[in-house]
Amino acid sequence: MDNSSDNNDHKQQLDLITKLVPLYTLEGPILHQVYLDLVIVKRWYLIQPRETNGLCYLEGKETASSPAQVIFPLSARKTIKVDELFSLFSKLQHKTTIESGQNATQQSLSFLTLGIVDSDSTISYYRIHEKLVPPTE
Amino acid sequence: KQWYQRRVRGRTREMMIKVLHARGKFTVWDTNDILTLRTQHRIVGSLIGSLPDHTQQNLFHGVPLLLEIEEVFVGIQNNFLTLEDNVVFETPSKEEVESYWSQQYKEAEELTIKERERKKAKEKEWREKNHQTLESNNNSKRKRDEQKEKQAEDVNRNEEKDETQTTTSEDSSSNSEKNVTPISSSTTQTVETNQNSTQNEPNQATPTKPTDKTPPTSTTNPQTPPFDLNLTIPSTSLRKTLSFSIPQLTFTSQQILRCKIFSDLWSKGFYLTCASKFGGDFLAYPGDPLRFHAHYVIIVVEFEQTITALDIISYGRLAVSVKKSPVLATVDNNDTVRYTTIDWQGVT
Repeated sequence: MDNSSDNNDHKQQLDLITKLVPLYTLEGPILHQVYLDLVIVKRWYLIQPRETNGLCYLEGKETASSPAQVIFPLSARKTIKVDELFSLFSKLQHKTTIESGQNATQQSLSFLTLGIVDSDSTISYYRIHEKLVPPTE
Repeated sequence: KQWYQRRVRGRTREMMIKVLHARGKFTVWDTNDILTLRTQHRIVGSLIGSLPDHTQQNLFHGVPLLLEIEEVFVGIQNNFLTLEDNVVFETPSKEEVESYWSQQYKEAEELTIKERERKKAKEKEWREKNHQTLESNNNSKRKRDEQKEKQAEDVNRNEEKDETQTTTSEDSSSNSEKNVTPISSSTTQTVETNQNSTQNEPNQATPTKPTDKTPPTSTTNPQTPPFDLNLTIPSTSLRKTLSFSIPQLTFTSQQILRCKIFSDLWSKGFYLTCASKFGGDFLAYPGDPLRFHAHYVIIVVEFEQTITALDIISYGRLAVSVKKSPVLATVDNNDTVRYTTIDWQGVT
């Protein structure tokens, strides 16, 4: 992809996020911040904002060959019920699609990444799995 | 006896490991049972007894093994533990008491002799090690003493000439003569006196042997057991509200949750211990804790409990810093145990 097409893609995504912000007053700004962090700082290959079942989130790929991931932005001060945390998997299940000029594929969700944003703009990323995963050495 | 021999799913009650339930604590006192629990049933517990010869050390403890309520629950559900509730110990007979005290007396005597011999050997070793230094010290002291002797003799000769001063000077000279002794003989004397003193010490380590006394108890009445084990059995109405099938025990909702999660993890083959030092409820090991590091820090949460994102961060950071995976474990409304593992991915 050349720079101009990248810029166009980003403009499109930012426009989408701008539309989502008024709909999600708490999560919208955080979504925007996490998007910019992934695109500019971490230089992810592909990021797209999504919404479903009253949730807004990002879907993307770190590199061209890496699998698609769901990034769920969250404020550090936000309280969440344990059942809601578990239900994220079911709500976002079968909704993972990556459109990159190819046929959209639906992938089952084995994990999702929480982007926890604090008031000083620090973003901590935590991946949560719906099973027991041993530590990596 | 027939009740004790009743078969429970192919295992007789005599084969089941007995757990003593007293004052809300569950203990196992037989060392073979403790070994069986650990090696065959993956129940680790905590050894809380002190070793007889090393009462101050706390690195390795001895019997009894203290079990958590979750471990007891798993053991009873899987029929390898049996609960001994409201145990009352029998009062020992007079002969048993006599035999106990004579054994104590004998062991104390042996220990005293052993300690004395150890001290002697240590002293001998020290002397041999510092032989040269000691000799040179002794020589210099001997020379000083000899000089003092000569001076005293001179003084005596002078005093003998003057009869009017002999009474006071003779006394002082005689005293000084008595006090001047060679160091080597004085040191041997002190060693000997020390030895004599230890020999003459009338069995400091031995307990006083009673004649007609029963072992000391906490109560004045010798017929009551050493400690009170009378526990209130919960009412049947309270038992009915709980779905657990152990009539002797009552469970709070938090305990029920912990027991279910413990049982589920145990059935997956993990060894489980307490995780308070890592900020969790359980530590899950893939093998014996003496041979493996824990893989998971299990944090038990209720399904409708509210947590903050900062809680997720704190669980994640703490566990990752000690190379373990933090896991939030809960039981959902369908009575299914569910886990979510938290994995730190980085910070911007």
